[in-house]
Amino acid sequence: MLKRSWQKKGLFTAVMTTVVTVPHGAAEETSWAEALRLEAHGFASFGYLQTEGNNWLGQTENGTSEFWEAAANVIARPWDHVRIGAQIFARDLVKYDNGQPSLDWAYIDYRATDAIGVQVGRFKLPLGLYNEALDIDSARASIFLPPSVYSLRSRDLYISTDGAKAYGLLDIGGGGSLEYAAYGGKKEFSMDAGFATYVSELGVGDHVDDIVMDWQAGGFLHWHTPLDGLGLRLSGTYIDDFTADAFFTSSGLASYTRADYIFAFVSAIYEMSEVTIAAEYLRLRGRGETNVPGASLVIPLIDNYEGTYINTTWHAASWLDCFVGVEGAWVDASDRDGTRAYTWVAAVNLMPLSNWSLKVEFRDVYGELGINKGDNPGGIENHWQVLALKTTVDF
Amino acid sequence: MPVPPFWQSGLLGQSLVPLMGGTIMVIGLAIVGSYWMTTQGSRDDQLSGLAQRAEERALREQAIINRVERQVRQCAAVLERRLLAKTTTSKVIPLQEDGTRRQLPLDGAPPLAAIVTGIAARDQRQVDAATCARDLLDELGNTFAEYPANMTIAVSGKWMATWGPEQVDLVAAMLPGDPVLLPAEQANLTQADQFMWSDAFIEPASDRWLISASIARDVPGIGRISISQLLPIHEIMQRSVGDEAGVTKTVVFDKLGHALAATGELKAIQLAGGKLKVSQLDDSVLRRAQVIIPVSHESGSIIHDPVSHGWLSVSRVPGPGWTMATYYSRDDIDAAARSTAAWIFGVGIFVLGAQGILLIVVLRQRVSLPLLRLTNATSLVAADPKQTPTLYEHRHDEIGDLSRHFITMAKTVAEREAELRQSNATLREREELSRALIDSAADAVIVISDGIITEANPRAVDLFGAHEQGLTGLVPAALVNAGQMNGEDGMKLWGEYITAANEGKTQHFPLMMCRRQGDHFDAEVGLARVHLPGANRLLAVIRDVTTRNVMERQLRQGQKLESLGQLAGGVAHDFNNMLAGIMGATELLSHDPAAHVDMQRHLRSILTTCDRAAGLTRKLLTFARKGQSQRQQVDLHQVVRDSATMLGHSIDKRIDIRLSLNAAPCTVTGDAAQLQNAIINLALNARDAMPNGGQITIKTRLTDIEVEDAPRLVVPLKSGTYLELSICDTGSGIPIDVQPHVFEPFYTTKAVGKGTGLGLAAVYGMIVDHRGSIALESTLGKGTTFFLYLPLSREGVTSSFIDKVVPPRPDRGVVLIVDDEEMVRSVGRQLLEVLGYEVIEAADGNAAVEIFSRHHDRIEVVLLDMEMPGMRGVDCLRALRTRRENIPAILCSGYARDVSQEQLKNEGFYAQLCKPYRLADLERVLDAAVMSSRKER
Repeated sequence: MLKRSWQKKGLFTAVMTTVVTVPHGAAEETSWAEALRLEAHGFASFGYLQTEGNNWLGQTENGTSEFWEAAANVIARPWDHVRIGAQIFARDLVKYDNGQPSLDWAYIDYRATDAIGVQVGRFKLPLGLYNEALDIDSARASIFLPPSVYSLRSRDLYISTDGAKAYGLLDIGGGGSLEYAAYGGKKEFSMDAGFATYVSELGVGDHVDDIVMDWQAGGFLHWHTPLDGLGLRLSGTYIDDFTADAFFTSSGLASYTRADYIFAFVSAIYEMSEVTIAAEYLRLRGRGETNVPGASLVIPLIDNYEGTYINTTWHAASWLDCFVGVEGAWVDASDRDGTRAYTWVAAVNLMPLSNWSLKVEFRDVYGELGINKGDNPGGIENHWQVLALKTTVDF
Repeated sequence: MPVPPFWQSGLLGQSLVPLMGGTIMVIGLAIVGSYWMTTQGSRDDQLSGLAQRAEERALREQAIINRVERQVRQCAAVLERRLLAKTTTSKVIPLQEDGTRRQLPLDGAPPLAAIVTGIAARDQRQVDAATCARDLLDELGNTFAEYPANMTIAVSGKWMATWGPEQVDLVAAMLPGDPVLLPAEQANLTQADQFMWSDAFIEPASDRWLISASIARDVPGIGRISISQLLPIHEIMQRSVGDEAGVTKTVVFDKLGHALAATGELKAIQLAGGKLKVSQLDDSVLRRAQVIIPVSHESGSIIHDPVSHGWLSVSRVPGPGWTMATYYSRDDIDAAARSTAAWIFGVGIFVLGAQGILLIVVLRQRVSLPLLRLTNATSLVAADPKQTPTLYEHRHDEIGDLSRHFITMAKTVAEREAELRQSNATLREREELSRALIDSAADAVIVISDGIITEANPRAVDLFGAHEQGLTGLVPAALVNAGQMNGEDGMKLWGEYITAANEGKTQHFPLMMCRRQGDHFDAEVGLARVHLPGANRLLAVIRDVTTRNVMERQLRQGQKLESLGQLAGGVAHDFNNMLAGIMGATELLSHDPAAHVDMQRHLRSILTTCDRAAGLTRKLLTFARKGQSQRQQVDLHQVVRDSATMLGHSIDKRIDIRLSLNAAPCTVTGDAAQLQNAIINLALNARDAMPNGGQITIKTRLTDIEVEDAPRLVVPLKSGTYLELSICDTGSGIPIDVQPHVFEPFYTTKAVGKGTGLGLAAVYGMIVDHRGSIALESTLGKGTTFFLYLPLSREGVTSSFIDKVVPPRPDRGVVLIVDDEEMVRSVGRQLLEVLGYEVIEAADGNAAVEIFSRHHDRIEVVLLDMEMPGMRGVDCLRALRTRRENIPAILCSGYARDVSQEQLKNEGFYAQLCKPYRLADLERVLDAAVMSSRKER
């Protein structure tokens, strides 16, 4: 495991150097890079986060700069229809991830036809409209993807899985086109990553020993409707036998969590020339139990999460995007009066250069959902605000 | 107290006065009787005497009358004879020079009538007659011893001579031949020898009533001569009354009722131009005389006047026909009697007085003074029984007897007083002792008189919290709690006990009583009747046995739980061994590559279920205090927070979990896992009590436990400061009849399958194992609070289970597994082989020692069971250590019965693995032990 130290930064620097160096360094020769049609991209983001009312994602009430991301990917096309790529990603989202680099994706992709293609390896999970673009900061005007649908803390759960995916695009004539994907796989989790940190906040133990899943499967269907710019998507994933072993460092009391999960997204996007309206609905169902043998305790695990959003991005100018949105999230879909959050979001994206953006996002949140009690020992405010600043340079 | 008058005080006063009074009364009656009788007798005598005197008076009057008549006749006869004889011896007394008549020398002899001389007699005969008359008078004067007074000789109606003392002047003024004033009938006596008394007439010269006794004689040659003697009636009356004249009232009245004379205090009868009748007298008594005295009454009669109550004595003077009435008043009559009676009375009084005085003196001397002395002696003896006053013990009378008996009594009293004093002193001492005993009694003592509390000792006041208002005057039933522990009616019970006690049956019974502030307590009451004459009293002794009952309940509960724990521990141990076999085999199967997905799922289910079963046995072992517990310094607040985090994600989201962690410090010595287990169990119970949501509040604070807190605690605690952890819910509460059972294993009020009844039992076992205690407060409908009391640790927190983090996996080596259970050895072997270890088995301690002796250089870790026949695990390790000192040994046991964690470490065990254990646990511990062993090598 890598600690947050010069080691992390060193790896990042190395990757960046490689990425930066490789495409531009051998223009004259048919280098192996050219032969492979190697491309390297990446981005680096630095940000500032401050909240008012509650600590969010860590200690943020006093402001924090533990808010950066960096990624570097390499894509090779050694053959037609074949693509090989990999991305290393690292981020520090206050107390999550802490700069732990991880292999975001690394797969071999074979696109036989438009209608069918296969990816094998660690591929991005096609969940919702934007899950596959989690790592593409420039793909959105806001800093954060709606947390009501895209969990900020569970990035390593959402981003990819190890397996195989079949995908394709089907033209259905007057009905538009249908894009699809189906996949299966499983993945392992790093105990240093954000998801393990998130699991440790769920009350199963502050030290997570192991997180595994048996297998995972899912897919999506995206209908590019005949109405130009309107797309509708159904996507989801099923995780079988998700297990998390943890224990409390204060007592050694261990817990063993077993659960099956299903994520279902219903999405709609309407892209006009300068305005993009997107809306999504997530329903997360989980069934399992947490076994605490030391306490002879078996805690039924029933997740019935519901999240949604709708937002609008106005491409006001080539250098300016304006974003507004509203989000809603409920811990228990059957109890809308339970733990929930309603959020108003406004963001501005300045793009002075094509590969440089400056974003400002303001979030006005009503609700406790997403707030960790451990980060707020003095109590949780029901109305709180977030101000985020981020600058991204991508290449 | 007012002092009674002297006649009501003292023997003398009380006895003598009535005695005297009686005597006086008797004697007085006698005197009065005597007086009356004397008076009556004297009166009779007096009346007799009066009659006699009246008769004598009448006789005297008659004698006077007779004498007068005789004198007159004699005078007449003499005169006649002289006249006839014409012999006279006369003397001529010449007139005095002044022409007045001379007084005859009286020299004691009756004066003679003056003879008129110097006047030429007109008639010689008259002169002779005068001379004869004079001579007669002289002669009469010489003849009669008593000369007839006022005798007048008249010749032919003309005065000749008169003599008498009163007549001197008169006589001297008269001349012979002066007409004699005589009653006409006398002056004109025509019959010779006719004697007659004249009627009373008033002599003008003197205004006196006179009466004359006259006789006429015809003397031849002279004429008729008359001799008259004038008599003043008053004088006659005076002479007849005699010495009674001054004391009596006498009246003389003639036949016509004219008052002729009266004596005594009467005024002189006044002439009022005529004769005064008696009825005209001023004196009423005398007026009545004529009325009272009838004519028929003979002389000498005594007539009683009913009006004045006096008597009138009657004296008849036949001659003149007078009646003389002399009035004797009652006083006059009774005077003598009174005098006699007075004399008698006086004598009697004197006698009485003398007798009384004598009696008084004698009684005083003989009785009163001795009695007074006795009284004083009584006072002296009363004041000081030792006193021996001098009395009259030498007398041979009642006083002497009394004195002797008094002295005897005084001595007896002194002796008894001494005894009594002694007894009183003893009694006071006992009373003081009793009072001190009652006042200092640890139990409440109250006295009930006629249904009301009349006395209460300080302990009673303190016990019932009645410092302000006290207990006296209260009805005892007010101190009885209406509801009793067994559901009975406290008032009814109390009434039954009171009734039985009043019948004399001493009662001892338990009762829940109520303090004045309203809180109640368990008591043992002793109720007995106090036998006192005229009083209905009950004595109640009340002892607060709340603490004792609580401690008894705690002891019984503890013994019960201890027994259950023994049973449970044994069952759990055996069950754990079986579970170890099941879990081990299951894990082996789950690691079998041939196990497909469904099989894996089922195997995982088996493991999960085995985990649960192990959890139950762990609870049982915890309850039995045979669980594996580690002693570390635990940050209890962190344990609470972690528990709250878990609970926050696991229980109903409608349940709000709040923390109030105020204990400082918050470090306790104990097993953090067991503590967290206890907190979670209590919180889950709280969750079950709030099916519709609510609030769970977990608090910590430091608190001082005192003896008074004992009733609250399930397990007694020494006095001191403890960390109090409370878990409070707002649920339905626990019924009071359920509360004593909540810590019993397998006791549950939940539906079948909803609870094992081991959660609180495990909490109980844990808290006892941690030398703490637990208390419960619950109100139906409001909620329940569990209080855990843990001894504080002043050391810093040492608990950390970071070492549970899986270390890097070392290369496997050789493990010696020692267990008498063949199944455990077999499963253990397979699990170890799955992990990559080479395994050597030994069925007991001796075999292990023998095998280790041969392979000690290869064996890297020893897995030892504790309870083995022949040689226990501890002893086996000691034996192994003799071959290789630093061989790491892991103790595998269902429970450490009599070896503590400290001892395990002291015995050199590297770690302890609790059956049933998971493969992962086994791997982790073995890897750490192997790494440790290799480092030391």
